[in-house]
Amino acid sequence: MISFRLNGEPVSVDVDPEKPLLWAIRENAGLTGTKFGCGKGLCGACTVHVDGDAQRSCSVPVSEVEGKSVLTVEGLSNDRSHKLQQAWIEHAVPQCGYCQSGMLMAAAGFLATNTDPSDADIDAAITNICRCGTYHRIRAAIKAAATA
Amino acid sequence: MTQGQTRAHKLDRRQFLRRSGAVAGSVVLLQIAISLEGCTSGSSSPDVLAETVASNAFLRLHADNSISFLSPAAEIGQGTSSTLAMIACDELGADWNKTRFELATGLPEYRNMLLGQPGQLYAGEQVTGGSTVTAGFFMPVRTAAAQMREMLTLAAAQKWQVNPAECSTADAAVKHVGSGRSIMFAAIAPAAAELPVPAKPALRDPAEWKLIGRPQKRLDIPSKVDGSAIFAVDVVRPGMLYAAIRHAPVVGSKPVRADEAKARARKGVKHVYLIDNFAAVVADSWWTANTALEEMDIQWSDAPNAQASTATELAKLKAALDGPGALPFEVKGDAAAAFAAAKTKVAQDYDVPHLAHATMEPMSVVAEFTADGLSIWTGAQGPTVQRRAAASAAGLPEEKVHLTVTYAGGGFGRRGDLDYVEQAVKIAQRAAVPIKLIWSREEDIQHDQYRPFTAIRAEAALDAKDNLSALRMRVAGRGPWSDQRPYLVQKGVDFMLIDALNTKTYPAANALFEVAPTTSAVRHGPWRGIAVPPNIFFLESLIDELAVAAKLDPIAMRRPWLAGDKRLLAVVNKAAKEAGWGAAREGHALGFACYTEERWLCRVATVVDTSLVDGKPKVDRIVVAVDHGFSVNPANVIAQIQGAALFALTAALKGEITIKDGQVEQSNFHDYPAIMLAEVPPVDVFLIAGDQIPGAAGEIGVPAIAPALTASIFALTGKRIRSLPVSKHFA
Ligand code: FES
Ligand code: FES
Repeated sequence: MISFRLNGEPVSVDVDPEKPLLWAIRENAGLTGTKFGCGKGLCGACTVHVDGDAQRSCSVPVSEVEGKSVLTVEGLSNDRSHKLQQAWIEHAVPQCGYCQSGMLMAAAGFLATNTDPSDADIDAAITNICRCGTYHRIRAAIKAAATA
Repeated sequence: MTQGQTRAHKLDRRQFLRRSGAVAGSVVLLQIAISLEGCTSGSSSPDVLAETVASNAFLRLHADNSISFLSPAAEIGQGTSSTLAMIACDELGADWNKTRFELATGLPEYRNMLLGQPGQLYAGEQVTGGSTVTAGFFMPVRTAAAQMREMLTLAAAQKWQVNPAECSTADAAVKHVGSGRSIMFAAIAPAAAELPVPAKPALRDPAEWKLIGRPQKRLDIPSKVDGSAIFAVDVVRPGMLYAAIRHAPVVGSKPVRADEAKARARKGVKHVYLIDNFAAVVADSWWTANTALEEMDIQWSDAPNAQASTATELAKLKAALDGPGALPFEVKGDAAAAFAAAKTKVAQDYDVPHLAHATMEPMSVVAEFTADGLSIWTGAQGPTVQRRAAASAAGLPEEKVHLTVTYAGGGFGRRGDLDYVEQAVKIAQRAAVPIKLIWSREEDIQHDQYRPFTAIRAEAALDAKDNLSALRMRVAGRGPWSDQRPYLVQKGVDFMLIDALNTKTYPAANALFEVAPTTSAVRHGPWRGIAVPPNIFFLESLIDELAVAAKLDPIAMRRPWLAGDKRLLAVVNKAAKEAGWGAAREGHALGFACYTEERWLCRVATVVDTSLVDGKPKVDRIVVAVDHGFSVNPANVIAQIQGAALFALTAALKGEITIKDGQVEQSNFHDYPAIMLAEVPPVDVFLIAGDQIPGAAGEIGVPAIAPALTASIFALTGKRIRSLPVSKHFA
């Protein structure tokens, strides 16, 4: 049994300790906002926060978060009021939307470390993939959220 | 997930059709709380829908005066469901803040209006493809909304005993101008239901439009910032298990045996199957199923394709170009004579590689057999075709199969295919529980239906006055329809290989276009723009080389040829002006390409600005000028064209699927990379409205990127790239 906090709530899952956190969140905890894109830490669609750090949950065995605090897109706010969610809506960022949970979590992790990012800072920090090509609006929304 | 269906007063399908009459594309039916059989939604907002008080094929009016637009489009990121909802809301006079959409299927009204008419490519089918949705449904949706508006208006006018011509609708209410009286839609809907459906309702004067033509935010955006949007990969059914699969590594091979005991030994594994050309494991977790597949040492049968490599495939293309047997599909004038008399001519071979779609959401689908049939959930680009495939895989009549269209994490042409749907059905049938099939990214990259590897021999000639006097092009390859819809390949000519090879952009008086069909070691399918991006790369690269040979400015050379196409000339001039053509910054070079897509009303011109960084070209800016007719939602069109530019740039810079021993060599984003934020240049889009009719948007940003990029790289470095991607020339 592996226990951790998920969006503030205590959860315990009885699974293979090697099972990636991504699948524990999606299948065992039933939160499907966190997406599977590559399974190899390459795309960022599965990004969540573990004790405040943005991590690619497809590459984190669930046993590693024992006793830790995990935040997913569902936990950013319960009413889309997080400044990044607001900026994402304002800048109409998503297209298909599949990468966006991971983008938001990567951006939230990044803004926690850099409150006044330049374009170059954003470019260096956000290495998630968006096949729809929403990058221009992602950059603009992160900058807007930083100053919000 | 919200079904968006009111089941209380269900009409059966026959009853529905009888009542609906035969008003093409727009059946108005004002009924209290009806439900359209087979019409389901997978993605309406999670709020509880109020009772439906009026409804037709495209619209439901609810008791709280909100409306649901029943979208015939898949939602693959292109945003057309919101675009059509804008049209419906505006025409009806409803409240945009209380407008939602649902992804619908199951009614004849949803057949593709531009590709699905009798005798057409997708006769009778509901298909999201070819960038046809907004253009095709613009009038049917307006008509359906206008029918509902006229009935509501007439009912209110009768109630007030006033002339309906003095009434108007806005904010979900009918208003009488003279008296200032007003009644909300829902209040008058029961009376409206008693009125006949007007066959030819008057459409609103465009001067009254409040939404159409003005930038609006897509309705699905809020659900895509909080994780609540439901994709097929997210659908959960009671008792559902997860399936992962491995395809035979080589096309034509099959699974022979596997260490099934080893797979079953893993905790959570329930079933192991070897079916057709794949092995599947069913488990209580997708990760468990996928891990078990890795461990079970599957043996595959031999297949002749195991000899194939990218080199042997290229040799096939070259042999086809060299050999006899090419099939002419357009012959104009006397190309041979024009070449003999030419002042300047160029002749080159070009090729483009296989490309995978790599949609962000890998192929995923849920299949569930029920007491009376089969239910499917998937982000379907071709729901009617896919439903039929599911029925046939299940051995059920089509009407027993219920398909729910979910959001799709990208489509790019891939989500109309049948393979993953058929697989899920076969697995669910054996497992006898609901199954969620998800392809791993490796399966997605290695077993795609690829954009074809295509080569061309291309020649162009200028006469003494620098007019384009002749084009001669012979394209070799295997088009997508040859694999997917062979009945559409007529006399050996696969239209999906030759599209855009014509004299529409440049009216050369003499032309010879031929196709030399080949076989392929991998399967092909439609990829955003299908044959247009490769063929515009070929044609525009050739024209750029011609300008170099003639020592002419590439745009100045083209201008006189475009005199007959004012719309194309306008976008060419706009792109040139905005990009600062003729005045490239120090250390930079500009490259240009343009094209005409006559069918979907589009004219596109693109300028790419590059510079050298560490000996490699870097893209600094892209300028796109587009006339695609009328933009219903200009903000969304710009987003589509920017996204398409980056999608095309990814492909041109580094997209390449290669084959070794019959197997695709790439497997994930490390070796089939996508562009990331640090490489993204500004993409400045300029829309020029050349028509009042909406044209295409989703694909038109793709084709001109690669040729403008390689023209720019030539201007920068003197290196002409005739074989994509760019990356292999700057290793
Ligand atoms: S799914 Fe985790 S990085 Fe792609
Ligand atoms: S919005 Fe579709 S992948 Fe990013």
